[in-house]
Amino acid sequence: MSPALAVTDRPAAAGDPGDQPGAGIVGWLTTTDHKRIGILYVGTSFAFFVVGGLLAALMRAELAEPGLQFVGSQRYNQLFTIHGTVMMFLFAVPMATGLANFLVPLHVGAPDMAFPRLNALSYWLYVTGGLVVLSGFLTSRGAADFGWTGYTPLSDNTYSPGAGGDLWITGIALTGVASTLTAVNLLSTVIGLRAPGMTMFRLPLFTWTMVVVSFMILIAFPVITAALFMLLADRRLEAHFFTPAGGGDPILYQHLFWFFGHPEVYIVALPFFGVVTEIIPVFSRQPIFAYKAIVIATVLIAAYSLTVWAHHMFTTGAIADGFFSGTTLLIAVPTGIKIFSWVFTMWGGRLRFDTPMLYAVGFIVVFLIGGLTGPMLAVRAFDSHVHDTYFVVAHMHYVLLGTAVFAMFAGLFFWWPKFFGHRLGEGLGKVQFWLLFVGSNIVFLPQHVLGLRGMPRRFADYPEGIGYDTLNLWSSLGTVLIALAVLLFLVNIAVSARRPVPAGDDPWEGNTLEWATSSPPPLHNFHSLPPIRSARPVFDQRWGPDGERLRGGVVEGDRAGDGDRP
Amino acid sequence: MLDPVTREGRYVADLWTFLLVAATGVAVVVLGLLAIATIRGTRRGAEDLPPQRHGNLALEFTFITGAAALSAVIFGLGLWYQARIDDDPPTDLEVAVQGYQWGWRFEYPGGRVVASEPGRDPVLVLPVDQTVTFHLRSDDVIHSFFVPAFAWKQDLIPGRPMDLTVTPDKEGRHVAHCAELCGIDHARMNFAVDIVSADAFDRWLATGEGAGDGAVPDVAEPS
Repeated sequence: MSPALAVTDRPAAAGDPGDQPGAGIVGWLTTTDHKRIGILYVGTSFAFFVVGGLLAALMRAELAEPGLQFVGSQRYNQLFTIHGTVMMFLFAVPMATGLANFLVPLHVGAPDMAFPRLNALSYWLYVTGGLVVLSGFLTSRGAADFGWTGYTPLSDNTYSPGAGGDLWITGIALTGVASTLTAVNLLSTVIGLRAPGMTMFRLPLFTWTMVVVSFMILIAFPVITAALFMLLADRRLEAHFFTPAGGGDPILYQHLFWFFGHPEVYIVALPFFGVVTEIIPVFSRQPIFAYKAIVIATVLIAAYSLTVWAHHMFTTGAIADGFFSGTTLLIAVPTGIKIFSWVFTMWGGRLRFDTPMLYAVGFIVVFLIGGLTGPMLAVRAFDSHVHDTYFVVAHMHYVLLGTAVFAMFAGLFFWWPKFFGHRLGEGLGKVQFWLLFVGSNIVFLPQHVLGLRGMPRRFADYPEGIGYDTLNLWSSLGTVLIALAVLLFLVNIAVSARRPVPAGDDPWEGNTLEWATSSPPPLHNFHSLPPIRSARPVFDQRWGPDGERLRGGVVEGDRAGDGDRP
Repeated sequence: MLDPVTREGRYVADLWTFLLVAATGVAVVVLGLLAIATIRGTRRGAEDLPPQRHGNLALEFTFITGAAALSAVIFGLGLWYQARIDDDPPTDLEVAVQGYQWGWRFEYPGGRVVASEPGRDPVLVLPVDQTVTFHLRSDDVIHSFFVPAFAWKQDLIPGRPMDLTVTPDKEGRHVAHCAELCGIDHARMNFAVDIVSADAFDRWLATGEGAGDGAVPDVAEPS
């Protein structure tokens, strides 16, 4: 199908019977509309976020002081296993998928995803997979308890015989298939359904990240699916891929897991980088600084991320340290490009600190802290001290909180008006931000020190009086603030839905095509499209190219670096 | 901040100091720019449209070069320290270390064995200023031999015996852990390291007395 056909071949007017979404719950359950599926993904993954958060709160309660007070060791091991699994597979990736579902067709000026029914199938596979993982808690031995990394031989049937492990494998495999199908769908949409004028270098940068992430998913997810089925074969068919007694090798599992697992971190992070890259220019009234450099950086991060996996395995003594240290440190360069691009987009801008922007800037700060400990862990000699300690826990939570939580809230506050036609409360949103920001730092900053002092991760309990007590207590107390912040967000949703104030089509003076249609958009998205002559078609419509309608064409900066000039 | 008690660990501590300084430097630059951009951009007010800037190649090359240079320095220093750490003196003492669910067994030359007992963590007695090679093995799941005071850890992987060589250079007693999740009682797989004078070590090896007693008690109740 040619892009031109995609734009014109749609019902023309509101009120057309073909333009009405199905009514009621049945309408939502049977929908193939990308916007509804997107909202379903966002809602479902947020529910999983709350579940994963409750598991974490139980862990922090247990660790508040030495000794076992609330849960036994085995239950504790289940808590962190399912916490990690839920947050990575059932919250962070699907949340990005939800935003992408809603936004990518709008961003490229298309009426829907390329394969709407496949899209619905992906969502339901994901929901099923999530429930299968959680159902482990209902089995007699409880849920999987060998860590979200599932290292062998601990995860084989000799040491973890319960059905929880099999449910964990099956559930993750299902969500992996869902992600793979979505990746195919998104790539087809961007490649095949772009509106006339929407060249690749005019794509919104969020959509660019989804293009790159979709390629990463196609490379990484089949590997984890294969590894999981090999593990399942070990557990149920005595296959001995990974068991040394049968001639297998536990190190092979680690290679396969991390060949998926490290790209996975960027599969989570890149879409949220994209979210922030959409938001900061709007609230700075500047084009994004160095559009093409950001695209190239995104591609480089993805490419490098496929070469770094064994930096998770320095302490095995079974890998080439120098190679993996070097490739890991290389990633700091494109990541640095992105951080500088965000900062220099704000530089010289006229800033508005509405809640989305507050979260976007909070994201930069939180992600920076996590980003700075990353290169440290890439150095084998230092990693050998802090590997598998709370230093790593702090590092990954700063990275993942920054991206999947702070940037997620930035995106939800930003696009909520487009989702539902009304804004979330600004006052509540700002209070929530400060609770979350302060709470996160109280929880995770002390964990760096805990790790340096030697406290291993995945410890249900710790010895008293060797420097772990006070910091653990702080870390647990901070959890209360995070819980309040999440609660406040739910209150905000309820309050703003009860007394909705219509937001209008373009409440933030946005740049990209989703702001050129109504809020919420009609079933087929656009009745007409503005001309697309840059990466900011809606900006151009409002101000003229580079604001010349307002400023008489005053333009600063280096033209050679411009990717999005008409 | 790190205060290790081995020849190798001191290199790790130096490396950490460098990494902390470098990271703090980067943080100050980035957060400083962010703060200035925020203050200036907010003061300007949001009513008007500022001049539109799409990029600045010179600036982009500057920070790409800066980030690449810093990464290269960290990479080089990491290799340099690793080479120093790996450059061990000849071994004076060999100890066979076995990790298992959930305890440790240390076997010394001459057949002296120390192992975990219910309610009591084992004590790994070592002589100061002598180079020790640990022969590490596990026959069940993966464990990790982690003495925070050595600033080092080495995994024990079934089917892959591994060696670890260290030279403790300060007397004292330290808590140590299993650092790789190994099942229900992972958090109880602790042990103590007692670094004593060479004379005291020889006496202990011969008689079992004079060191390693009064072990760090197993502080947690059994599950």
